[in-house]
Amino acid sequence: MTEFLFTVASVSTPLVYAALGGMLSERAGVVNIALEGLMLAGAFTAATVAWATKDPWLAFVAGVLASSVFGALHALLTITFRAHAIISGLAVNAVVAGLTPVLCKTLFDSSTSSPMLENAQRITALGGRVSPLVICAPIVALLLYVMHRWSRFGQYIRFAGEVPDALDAQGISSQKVRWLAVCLSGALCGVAGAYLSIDHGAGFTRNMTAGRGYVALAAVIVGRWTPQGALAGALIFGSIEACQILFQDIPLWGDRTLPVQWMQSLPFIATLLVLAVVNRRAAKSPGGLFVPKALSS
Amino acid sequence: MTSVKKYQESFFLTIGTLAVLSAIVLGIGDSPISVASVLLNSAFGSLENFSYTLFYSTPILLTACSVRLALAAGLFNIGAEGQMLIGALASVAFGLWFGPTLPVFVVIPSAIVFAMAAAAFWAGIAGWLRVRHGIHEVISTILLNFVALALVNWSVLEIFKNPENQSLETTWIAEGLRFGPLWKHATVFAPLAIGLAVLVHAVLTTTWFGLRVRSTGHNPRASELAGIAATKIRLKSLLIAGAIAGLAGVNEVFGHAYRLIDGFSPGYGFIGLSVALIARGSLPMLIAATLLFGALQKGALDLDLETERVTRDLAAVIQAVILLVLALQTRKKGGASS
Repeated sequence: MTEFLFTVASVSTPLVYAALGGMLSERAGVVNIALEGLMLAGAFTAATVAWATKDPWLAFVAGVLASSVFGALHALLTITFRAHAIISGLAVNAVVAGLTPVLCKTLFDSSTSSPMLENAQRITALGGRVSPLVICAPIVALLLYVMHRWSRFGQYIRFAGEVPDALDAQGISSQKVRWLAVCLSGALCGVAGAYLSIDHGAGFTRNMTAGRGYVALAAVIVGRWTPQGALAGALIFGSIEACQILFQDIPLWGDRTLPVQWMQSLPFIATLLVLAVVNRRAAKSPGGLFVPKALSS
Repeated sequence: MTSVKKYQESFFLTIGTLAVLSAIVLGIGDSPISVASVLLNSAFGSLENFSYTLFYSTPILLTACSVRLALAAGLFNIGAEGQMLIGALASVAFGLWFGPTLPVFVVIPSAIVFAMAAAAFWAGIAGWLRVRHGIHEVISTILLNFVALALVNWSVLEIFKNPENQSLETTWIAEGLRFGPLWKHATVFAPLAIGLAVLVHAVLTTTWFGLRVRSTGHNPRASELAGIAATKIRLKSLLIAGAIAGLAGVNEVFGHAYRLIDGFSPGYGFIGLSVALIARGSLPMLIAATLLFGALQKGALDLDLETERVTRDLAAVIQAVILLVLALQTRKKGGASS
């Protein structure tokens, strides 16, 4: 059981950060399917800097910054240039997915992965077991909950998403609030990415995010665009992934196990099922459940 | 916007794109001019090379048609990749199951129908989730792509594995079922894809059905009020889009490889998505963008050998930068996003 909980915590962590980032961005009115690419940018940069400087925390900061820069690119396209958010998100994902193998080849002479990082180049786990980033995940969720609920900035974000004109009329630029929210979303994805490459993993591999950005986005929807909901959604999907990892070779009938490919697609199928159930119930609840204005088309 | 201004903008965006790409190549440590000449020569340098470009363009055009149709109905079919994979899997399954027993003239048409139906079914899952459960097709089709990928990988490994070969591929289909290449490396599906692009365009622009589709895409609520069953139209468009994407899988199995190779696609579905977004409803642009991206795909193959440091992965970067610049042109009035 402890083994299971440890696995849930470690595989949920990147989902939690990315989902919180996605929630911030979408609450501010910018649809963000770029989570996947933002995470990948953070993972690559963190691994590269860790390899070059042997300083994991410097690498962590670099990863967060890199993701924020790509977050800013998404903000520039969608907010300043009013580009279609889905196309912009796809473009950011494509740029990162395209650039990382090319840079990998240039830096490490391998287009599939960076060199394995030694333990000194990775973020050290506390007590040899739990990473500080894992512990910080629920704390960040709590902070965002407090911010979202009670702070002025949280209110601005909600206004930027729902009634930007009202915010502008108050003399507060809704565009600036959106920019900040999308860049923060990038930074949180950077934490998720750095966790994957220099904490949970030991180095960058091509497409190492493997769809986690999209699962995180689903967690945002399941959590109805709230911090506590995003945390819960990420934990649900994290638990499913943990089951996939832990029960991969448990015999089901006779000595046969479920094919590994079925197990690997389980998180995606489960994500679709959970989404379907939650959305169904949302539609039935009186007055409907909350959906950000940017998404209600 | 006046047309002069529009051309000016396009001109500066093109220059900007080339500048960004040159900077990337210089950053990697190669010469942009030598990379460009390798790309051009490899894509168009000889008839042989050009036929390869056509070969890569075919699935791109098919998936682009798929995305274009769904887009006209207001849906983002990011699942063309998965639908194509399911189409390929269904083709090879039908070919291997019934190829040896039934006559060829029965097997080929039924295999094509079966593959298209399977791909339409795959798209239909996303359509059903959208219509019944309100799950946005962007997220569902992306997730279904991952499931399709796993399904193909498993089928290739466990069900149709070629026992004579260690690599991840299925047994070959019977010789009578193989559509040989039409011209050098271009498959018979190359002209078919162009015909289909014209057909899709004609249906969308000249028929009542097309009008309903475009009206739904433009404003679903107003269409409902005008008596159009918008939900049904959307579902239908997505089903047809899936079937078209499935044809790209048929092309791979019957037209080229004669078996299903795991990981055969360099992301045709996503490339087709970019092409359809660039074309924005224009048929000539759809064909031109397809050729451009097909040429990049073929041209990049020679980068591994001919240049010092740049690899074939550069094609993905170039395509992504083009998509990024194109995103700038999707400017909307009013709200910032949706």
